[in-house]
Amino acid sequence: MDVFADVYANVIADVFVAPFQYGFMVRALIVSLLVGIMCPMLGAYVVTKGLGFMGDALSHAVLPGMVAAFLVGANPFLGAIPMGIAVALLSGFLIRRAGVSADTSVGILFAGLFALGVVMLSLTRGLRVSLEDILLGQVLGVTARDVLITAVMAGAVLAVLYLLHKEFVFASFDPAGAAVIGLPVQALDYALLALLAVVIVLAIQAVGIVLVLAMLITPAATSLLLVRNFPRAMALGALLGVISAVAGLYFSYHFNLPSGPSMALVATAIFAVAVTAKKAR
Amino acid sequence: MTAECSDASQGSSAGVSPQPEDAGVSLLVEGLVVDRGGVQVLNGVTFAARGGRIMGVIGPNGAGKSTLFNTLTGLIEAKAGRVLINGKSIQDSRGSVAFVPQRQNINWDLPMTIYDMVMLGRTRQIGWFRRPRKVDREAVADALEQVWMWEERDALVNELSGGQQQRIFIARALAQDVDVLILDEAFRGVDFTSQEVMTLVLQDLRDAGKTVLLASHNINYVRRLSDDCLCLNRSVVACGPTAEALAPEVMEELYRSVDIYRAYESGQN
Repeated sequence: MDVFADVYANVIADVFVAPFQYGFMVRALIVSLLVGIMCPMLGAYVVTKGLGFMGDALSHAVLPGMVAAFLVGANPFLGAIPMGIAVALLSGFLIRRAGVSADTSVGILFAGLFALGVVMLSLTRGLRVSLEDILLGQVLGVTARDVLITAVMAGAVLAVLYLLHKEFVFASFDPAGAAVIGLPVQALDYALLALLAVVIVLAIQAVGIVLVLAMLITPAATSLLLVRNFPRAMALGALLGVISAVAGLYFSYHFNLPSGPSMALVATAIFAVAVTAKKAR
Repeated sequence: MTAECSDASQGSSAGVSPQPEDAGVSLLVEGLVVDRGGVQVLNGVTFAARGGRIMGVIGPNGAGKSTLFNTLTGLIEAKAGRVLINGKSIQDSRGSVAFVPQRQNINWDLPMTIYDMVMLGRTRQIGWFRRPRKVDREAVADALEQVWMWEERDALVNELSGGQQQRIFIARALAQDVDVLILDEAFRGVDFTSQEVMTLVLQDLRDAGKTVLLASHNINYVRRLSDDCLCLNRSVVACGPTAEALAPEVMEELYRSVDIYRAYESGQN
């Protein structure tokens, strides 16, 4: 039996512990954990309110802000977070404007902004970022400052979600009823969009612009399939998000796979298992 | 006691500043004009409703019943006229009006238990950033017992029948502890048990001195339940004690055709 114990110990050491002898892996792990927690908690609102397209569009639209920050040598968050919030509020305004199709106006705006970002990136030479990293995420490249910013912003996002939980839920479930008792439904909607923008920008580090949706809606959709209570669905979503992010990170390390797509695949696989299990019951 | 009504032509004239002189008047609507999408839906609606009475609101499709309710609850703004709830404006009386809306305005994708749903009615009393206290939990328990749904409190609202959902909305309004309760087509598509429970609850509220406004297509319910009746078709056609307000000539004017009125009367709609 001692032999087996040794084998297990070695496997654990090689597979689970060894990666973290490198500083970049520790930083990647922290960011992945935080993104894995935040995305599905906000994702629960995104899924139930049908904001998936909005999330996808937002993640593409922050590109000019990121590139502009790179150009002036600033931290990309400094460009992306304000840009994300501004675009989220603008699109909230577009959605509220009745008559014109919200999907169309939001789509036009965001495709245009993404194209602008790509053109800005291609016109500048000698940047240390590649388009592929921005599109698919490069969590192995995060700096200590990125980790710090991510942690602070994550703390702020979770605090707001906690403090305004009952108001956000009321306004999402029954906007008219919430307005009748005097809740500022419009302001709450904008606040939720601003949080969404922040979380998306943070998640771009891990999974990139193209795959943000995988972290935002897949774990949340999985947990909403399994749990019938909204706060518990948020919690289970966060757990599934963490599992996806960390497992994806391990796959990325051991099999030399891109980290973002690995995380997205794990999240998708969990969703597939949950759907199958639920159908089988 | 009768409701005080007048039609548009007798509505507010400039310079007059009407007050609910009679303490029994809890809801005063004066010269209300509301536009929706450039079309004038309400033109000069004037009436008063009293505490301790149920007022039925009837009128054909497009008469402006929902628009009236959405205005009274502050969801849309009036172009002219005014609304006083216990002497205060809509903005200043947010906590004292509860609205049971038509059910299609709800995001049923969001999983919500019956208990949590009724607790939403306490949002104002609980206050920003805070969690429910004992008094809130007691109010929710009382409300659920009144609509006979306490046993089912952990079920999800999107798995209930239409009638049970309507009872939960009424329970939420009860938990809110308001002076004025406004119900839009609350009895449509509702099972018999829920009808009876809702009737009892509304009568209890009336007996407790509350004001109840109830829009319905079913004139039989209105006849049975209401003390007063407001007949609305863009403006007030008639308003007063139910027996008087629902006179055949009023019905004929309201629905333009006796046949349609008979169809409503026999509950086919």
